[in-house]
Amino acid sequence: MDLMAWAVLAAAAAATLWLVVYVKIFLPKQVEERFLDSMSAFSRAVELRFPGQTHLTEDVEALAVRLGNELDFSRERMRRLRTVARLQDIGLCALPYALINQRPSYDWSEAEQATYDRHPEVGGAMLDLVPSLRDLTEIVRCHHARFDGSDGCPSGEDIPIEARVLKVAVDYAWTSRMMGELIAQDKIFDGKGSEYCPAVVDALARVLRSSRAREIEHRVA
Amino acid sequence: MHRTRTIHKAQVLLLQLGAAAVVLTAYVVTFVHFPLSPGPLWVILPALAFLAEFLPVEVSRRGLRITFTLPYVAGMALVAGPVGAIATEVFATLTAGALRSRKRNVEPAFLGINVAVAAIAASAGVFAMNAVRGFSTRLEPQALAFTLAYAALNFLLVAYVEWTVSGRSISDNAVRALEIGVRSFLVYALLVSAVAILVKQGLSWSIPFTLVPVWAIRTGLKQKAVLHEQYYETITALTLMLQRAHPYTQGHLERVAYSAEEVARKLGLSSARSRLVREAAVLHDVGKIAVDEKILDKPGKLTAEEMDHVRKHAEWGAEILSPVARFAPLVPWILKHHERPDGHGYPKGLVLNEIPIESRIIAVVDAFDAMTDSQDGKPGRAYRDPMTVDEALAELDRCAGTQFDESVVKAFREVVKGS
Repeated sequence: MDLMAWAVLAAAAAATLWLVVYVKIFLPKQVEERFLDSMSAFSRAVELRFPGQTHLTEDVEALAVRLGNELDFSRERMRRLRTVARLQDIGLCALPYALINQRPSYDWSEAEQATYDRHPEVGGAMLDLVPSLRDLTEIVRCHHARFDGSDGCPSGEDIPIEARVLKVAVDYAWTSRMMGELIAQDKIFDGKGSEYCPAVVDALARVLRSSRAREIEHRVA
Repeated sequence: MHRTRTIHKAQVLLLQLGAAAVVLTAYVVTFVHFPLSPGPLWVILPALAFLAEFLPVEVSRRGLRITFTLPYVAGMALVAGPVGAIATEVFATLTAGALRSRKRNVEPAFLGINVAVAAIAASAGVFAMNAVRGFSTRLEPQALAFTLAYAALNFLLVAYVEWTVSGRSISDNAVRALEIGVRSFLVYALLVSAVAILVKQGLSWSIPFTLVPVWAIRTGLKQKAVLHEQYYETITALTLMLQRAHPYTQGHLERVAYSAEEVARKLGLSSARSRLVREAAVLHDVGKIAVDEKILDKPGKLTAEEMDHVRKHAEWGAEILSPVARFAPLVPWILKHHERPDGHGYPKGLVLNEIPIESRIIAVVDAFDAMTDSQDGKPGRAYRDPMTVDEALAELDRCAGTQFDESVVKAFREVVKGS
């Protein structure tokens, strides 16, 4: 073989190597990043419509990810969890603007409460129309489902685990913003087994303990 | 309706291309002699060509051809002569294509077109290779000549097929095909040379390794397609949200998108840019997700406070789209789609030259559709009765130069009048 032939073979091998790395490492990463980016467009839209929720999505996602880590979620499950954290409330955009923005929730009539309670279903129906998001439909539909059962949703272990994690994350983030962390903790721990999945509540307890330990460390340091 | 028309076009194409393929193949079989003795490569290369075509990775959506067999067909041309090359190409495209299309429900006419294109491209490669043989007995230049002719013909024919089927301007499809073509051509040229060298050295056992880069190209193309799909699905989902918040926008968005693209073409924007204008037109009111629907639908005049609230939608739209990288070019257009050439628009009060042409297009098209929208008897925009097309065009003319850009209004009139 002459030099030219060796050069061509070497170039072909190098190109192959580069292609494989690009296709197996860089492109999938890019696909996933782009995907999560577009999901934040949805959460941005909901937050703009209902300014009371500003940055709530970020808090919920951060907490959900920590719970997911605590529960040893696989990569794929984690991806679904983060995605749904961003678009779980897209059903809210079908709610009347005034209901959420101008009236406190304790003032709602029964009919209004029922309208609100339908938002996971509306969101699920919307996702059903988008092929690549269809596998998230069930999670969105159940993200407010009680562990011991509620209308139109499965109960107990039949609720997708992502939805059980999100329920805890959302309720904790929301209550601690409105009424402080202590009341939020009480609410979640009191609801263990009835409203919330026990395994997830235990995970939350571990997460809170470790973050408190870190806080004390900070203070000491 | 649309589907039957497409199938009809595909059948006509199949006749044309099939006839050309048969003539060329007959010519090659009769006149191009190339005596070579059979060897194991006569089996290995066709098998690889088949595998390259059959790898379980989906790429093209309509079933149009992106070639993967090229390195092996070129190798066949070197070791088994032109007839072997064409036979390999037809065999691989036909069998792999038929097996795959059964799963995917692809129109049989497209399979036929792909086979015909493959045969024509392979014949072109054979002619080029023969021409080079006159000057050089080395295998690499012959293989490269084959690749070049094959790729050029394949590219031209695919662009031609796309043009006939989709009815879009030929430059459009050519640009798209060229993007895919040039990049993969470099890799293919390398691969073909590598196969030629391995053949010459008698290293046939190592040729199957060349399937690795072919597989990688396929996987990469598939992921690019996923990115593309995600982009369009994000647009769909955002539109769904908007329609949930404000049911009246249905239909409006589709009409506005269609006319905006046509006007952009008429004004001489490139077709890639026109398509972006279309997407921007679909999303231009996405900020209204955050607007109180009571105020939007309120009959009669709005208070100053309500007006401010509604006017925020331009900024909100930009804010919603800003996290998505691929929407970056659309964000400023959507932010400025309520600016007016005379500087009385919002949110910034920019004047003519500061407003992107894309925003000016959306402003005109949107206003026209709002004026003529009848909502099929459902409660529409609450503040006025729909106008006729001529009344609305007259209104646009009246406001040209102040509220709307004159050149855009002129182009829009031509689009509406269908000239």
